[in-house]
Amino acid sequence: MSKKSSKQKITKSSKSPKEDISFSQKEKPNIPWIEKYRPKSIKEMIGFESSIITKIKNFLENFENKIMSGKLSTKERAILLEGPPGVGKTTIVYAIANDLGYSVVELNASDTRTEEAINKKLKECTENTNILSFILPATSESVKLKRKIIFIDEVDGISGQSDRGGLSALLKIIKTTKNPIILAANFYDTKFKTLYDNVEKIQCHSLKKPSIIKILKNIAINENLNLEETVLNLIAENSSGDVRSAINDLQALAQGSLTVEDIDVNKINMSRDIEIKMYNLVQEMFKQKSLIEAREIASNTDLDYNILHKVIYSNLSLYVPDIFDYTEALKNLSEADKLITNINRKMDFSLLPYFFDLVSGGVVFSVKKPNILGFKKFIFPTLKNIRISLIEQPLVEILQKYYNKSKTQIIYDVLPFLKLYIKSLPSDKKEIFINEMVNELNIEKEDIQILL
Amino acid sequence: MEVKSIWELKYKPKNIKEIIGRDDLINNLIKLKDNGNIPHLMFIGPKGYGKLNCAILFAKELLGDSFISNCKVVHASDPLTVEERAIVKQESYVSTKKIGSMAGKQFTWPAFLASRIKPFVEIKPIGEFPYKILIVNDFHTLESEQDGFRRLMEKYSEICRMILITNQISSIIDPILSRCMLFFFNQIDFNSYKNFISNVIKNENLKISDNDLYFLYISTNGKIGETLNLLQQISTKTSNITTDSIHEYVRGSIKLEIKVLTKAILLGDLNLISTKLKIIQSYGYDISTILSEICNEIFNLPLNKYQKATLINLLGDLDYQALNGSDEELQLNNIIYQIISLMKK
Repeated sequence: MSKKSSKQKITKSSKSPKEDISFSQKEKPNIPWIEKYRPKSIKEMIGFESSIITKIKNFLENFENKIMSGKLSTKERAILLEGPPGVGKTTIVYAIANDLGYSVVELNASDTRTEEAINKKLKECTENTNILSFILPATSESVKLKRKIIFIDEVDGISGQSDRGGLSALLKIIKTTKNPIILAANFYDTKFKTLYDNVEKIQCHSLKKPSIIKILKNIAINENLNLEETVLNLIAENSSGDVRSAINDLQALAQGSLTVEDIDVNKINMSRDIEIKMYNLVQEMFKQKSLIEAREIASNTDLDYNILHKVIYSNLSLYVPDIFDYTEALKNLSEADKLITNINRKMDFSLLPYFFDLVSGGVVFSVKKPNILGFKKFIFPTLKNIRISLIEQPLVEILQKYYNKSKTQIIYDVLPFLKLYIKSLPSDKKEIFINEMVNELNIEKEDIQILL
Repeated sequence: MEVKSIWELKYKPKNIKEIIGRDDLINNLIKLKDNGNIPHLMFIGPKGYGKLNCAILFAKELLGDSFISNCKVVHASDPLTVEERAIVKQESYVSTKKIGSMAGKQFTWPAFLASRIKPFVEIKPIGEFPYKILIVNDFHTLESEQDGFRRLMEKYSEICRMILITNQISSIIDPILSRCMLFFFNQIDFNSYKNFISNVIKNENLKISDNDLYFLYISTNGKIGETLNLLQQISTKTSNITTDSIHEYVRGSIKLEIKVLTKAILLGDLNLISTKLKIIQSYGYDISTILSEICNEIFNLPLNKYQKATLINLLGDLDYQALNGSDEELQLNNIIYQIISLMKK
């Protein structure tokens, strides 16, 4: 067996590399279609905005021209591609690298991205030469492979204990790099603000339906699928601009039988939820133009519906400058509050759809001129509980025993009174009062120091 | 040891019969006690009217010697400590189902119930007395955990009776209201207030005229604890108490705050409105008292009678709506912005 397999290997490797790739693709049906049909050059990209491609090309050219003279500013050293998943951020980087003759060094979420790991992996990239140029013979192709692109995918995944120090290491590398850096991220996150300030941002928008259908059609022809237009339409609609998910869905349908019928599409519930994070909930809502879209966003958040209207209420004043609009929106929100209390009190959940209508459409369409431009700070609704500092805690707990009041009440009512009272006492009486308090309430003198 | 340095603690009632101004309510409670078997109780009323104190004294009267071991006071609005969070983690369990959406899921009790209520409620009472008493202060802050609480009320009602205390009846769910006997705490009448306070003033060697005493009654809304604080504060400067000296220190008077608020509404000063609203709400008034004060204030505004009539009409509608809602800040803001936009048109 081993001899046979080794013979086969030899025969394969003797072929030219281009033929080898096509051979392996035909023989291995197990490759997921998203990898199989990933575009290798810019020409194959369908529906991707050409302005973004020129922007990236300009960035690379600019970097190439200025790197030798050392005139690069920090903002010219890296760019950030920001957009929803499945738009083609990763693909465009590889396609451009392929066309212009770069090699790509990639760091993505599967690698651990602590400070050490990043430094180790990218250390070689701070130097100018390419290792491949030593190994490969000097053919015309290998001469092109002189420069590298450092590509860091899913930047917003750097987080938590396991990636400690990763962000600051990235910043250092951006400032000292001798190769162009491209970052990719899904959403704006405030914890990456310092990183985002140091790079140029390019917004990628999700693909439109006709171009997704075009991509799907190409694949269907290649795979010999008998498909109707309506099926492709349905898949494209359900993907909501995410090409990767559309191709995955197509493959899921085609597995087993090569004929796809409308019924199959309906059997698999394929509509993917786009989960809206709560910090841009209000902004997303105001962007919508119909009640159904606005309601979808309100009901697709990761929020509990019990605090949904509170989140919207506390952020509303940032988006609505006009007083009359604001009152109209408040009117609808208070109506929604009335509904949700009714639902909670009487367990009447049939009212819940109206609540979502009021919270989303009621607010959005009562405002004529919303202000949705620019980044807005997210305000979390005020909670009824309070925080007690460690210094106050022993005194508060002792006072609670005697007063029989909640800690909130003691901090807001009792402590201010005691402070004011002690302040207004003449100095000789002050000591007498404090000594009395220490004796009667069994407090230690150190704890009382806050009142003085 | 008795506390004498702070007046509010010094004059705190130590027996249920010492509570003043609530004769009917306390007679009812004593009848319940004589009967021996009490239902779950709920005390409703604004902050500072002595609800919790009344509940504790009633439990003392009922349980007698076993009060210390069989009664617990829980403050629902206090934030959870680190140890309590650890208890919640211990109590959680993993589902043993192997099929379905619940398979392998981790279940936890709502944090508050698991850490503060369940450990007390589950154990049988110590001694001969047939049941324990659990007092929950600020019950409305539980919000969605009220559902879990309802089940505990049913399950352990043989061993444990509960006294729930709240100042926001609108945010309490119906099933809990229907399981409780309700007691409403109103402002105490002037006569019993006068008797008590004039006694205190004699004890502390102070002087006050009847008119000034009435002003004190209004500006503190008949809250005795607040009055005692105020008197102790003033006594550092003079022993003769007048309206001027009260004015200097008065803090919680809703009438004075509302006056500023209505002026701000007339001018359309949004910053002032939001700061004043926060102050008023921190005193713990519920929305209906704030609204009735605003309604009184409207008569003093420089408007013609048609404008006043439309404003009062609007207030009536909104008051009804606010009673049905639960987020008081939102409802109050709604009312105020409605008035502002009406005035600007």
